[in-house]
Amino acid sequence: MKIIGITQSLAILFLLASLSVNAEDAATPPFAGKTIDFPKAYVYQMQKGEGYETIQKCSICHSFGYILNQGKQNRSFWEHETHKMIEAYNAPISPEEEKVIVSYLVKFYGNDKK
Amino acid sequence: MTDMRRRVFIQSSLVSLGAGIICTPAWSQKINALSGSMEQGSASEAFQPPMMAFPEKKPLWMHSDSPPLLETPREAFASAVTPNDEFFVRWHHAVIPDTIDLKTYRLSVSGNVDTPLELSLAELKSRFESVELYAVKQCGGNSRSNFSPVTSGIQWHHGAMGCALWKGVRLRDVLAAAKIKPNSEFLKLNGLERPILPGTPPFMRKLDKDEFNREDVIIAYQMNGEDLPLLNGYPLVLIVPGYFADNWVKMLERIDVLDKDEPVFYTDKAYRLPANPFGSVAPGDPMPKDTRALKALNIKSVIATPSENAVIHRGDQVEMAGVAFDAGYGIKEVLVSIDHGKSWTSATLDKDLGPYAFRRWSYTFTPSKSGILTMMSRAINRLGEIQPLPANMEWNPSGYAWNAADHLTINVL
Ligand code: HEC
Repeated sequence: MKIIGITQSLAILFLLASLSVNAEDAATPPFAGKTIDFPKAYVYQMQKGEGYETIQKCSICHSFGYILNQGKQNRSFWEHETHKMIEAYNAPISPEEEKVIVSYLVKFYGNDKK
Repeated sequence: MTDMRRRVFIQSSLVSLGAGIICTPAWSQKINALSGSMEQGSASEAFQPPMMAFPEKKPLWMHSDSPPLLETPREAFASAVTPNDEFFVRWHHAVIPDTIDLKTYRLSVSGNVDTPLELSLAELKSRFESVELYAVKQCGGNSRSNFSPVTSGIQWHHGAMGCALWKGVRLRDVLAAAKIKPNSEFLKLNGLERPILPGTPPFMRKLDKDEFNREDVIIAYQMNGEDLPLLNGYPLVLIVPGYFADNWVKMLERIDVLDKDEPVFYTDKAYRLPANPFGSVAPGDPMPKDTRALKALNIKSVIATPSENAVIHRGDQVEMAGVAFDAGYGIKEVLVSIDHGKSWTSATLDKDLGPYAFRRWSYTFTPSKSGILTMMSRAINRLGEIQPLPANMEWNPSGYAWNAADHLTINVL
């Protein structure tokens, strides 16, 4: 009896639950619009070495893909680029960090061109 | 319930969108970038981006996942209409809604108007006459990787462009419904994307009076007969035919009518050219003080097929095909060369899909000797404007508007 009682109450609960689902569905129109799942973050692997921790700040606003995409460039390119992030986009990077970042970029993503 | 409804929606959308759409849960779709299958510029150590499939998209070259910067492989330009699932994706800021709920989504028109509007998508569709046109959307930085010396900015190859059939309503009809005041000078438009940090300038664009009064500037809700992919700006994108894509605001949220000019970063500071007729400076020189906004497209052609570095046997027939376009004057002729520009002949033009569309062209030939073969394409429009040869290409510090005659190399065995 006890077991049947549980089964019955479960059945009733289930019924109530499905009724409430139906009631809510009737009251609210179905979702209209669009939803997508953005893929989870991709790892654009940066070279490890001195400055690696500091350049993590360069991925606050965008992926490291932006940096890799530039190819290997000279010091003035990286100085200009790093400074632009601070000036134009308000990157929270101190003058000391800026120096570390430029050295890192020149070392790992630099070229010898003037 | 919200969760359940979302899940149900995702499942049904998968069914209705058809099997061709891939909703990748993660990076399971990773395909290793094949070195050499993107055209190699002077930068031989250039980073090869992975090819990735985002929701509603085929695998595209992923320069960045956040914000998503997805480039169309050049082979797609063998057809005059770029499919939605291959159309390039480019956002400025990383905060992009993953869900647009049409119950709450509104386009607002406010500012210097007598009747501010808050339009739902359904109202927009029912209140205004719909129009359709083919138009090329091309990023200002498309083909930037060809500039030498290098210019900072995303090093796109030729795939930050596409042509689609856009359907929507005229911007000026919407402005008229809002009773725009006669002294209005500018529109400030923005979409739903937001920067990560509040100190970064938001993505907004300005259109002047001549531009917002054009009868062919439309607020589009369809692309190639379907709702826009979310990554291309669902539910509404501004279409400014003949203009670079920075003007084509995605996920359009707000139109603010101004009676006088007011500075907006992404029109008054970014997306600018030197203010001379060529929009150029001597290669390597900095941006001069006098600048002008990047607006109208310039004449261009791109070779789509055969693929870069393809191996072809002597005596085999080769179909060279691609697209050409300009700011809306119309393509008159596309010259092609299969001897690296020593001699030129006319390609066959496909049917005209309208002044702002890609004009497909093709040329079939049979290589008679083996070795490296460099083919080129060079378009001419109805005004007589012709693409510069690469050696004569003007240079600008931001690397915008590359439009030199295209070239592509194959191996003949
Ligand atoms: C406060 C946000 C922010 C931070 C932090 C930041 N950036 Fe950027 N970065 C931007 C924005 C915004 C753009 C341009 C977006 C656009 O217009 O597409 C950009 C673009 C770039 C580009 C593409 C080329 C260009 O000039 O548009 C490179 C390269 C780049 N950033 C490198 C860096 C480096 C290196 C750092 C670390 C020193 C960094 N960024 C930190 C916001 C940021």
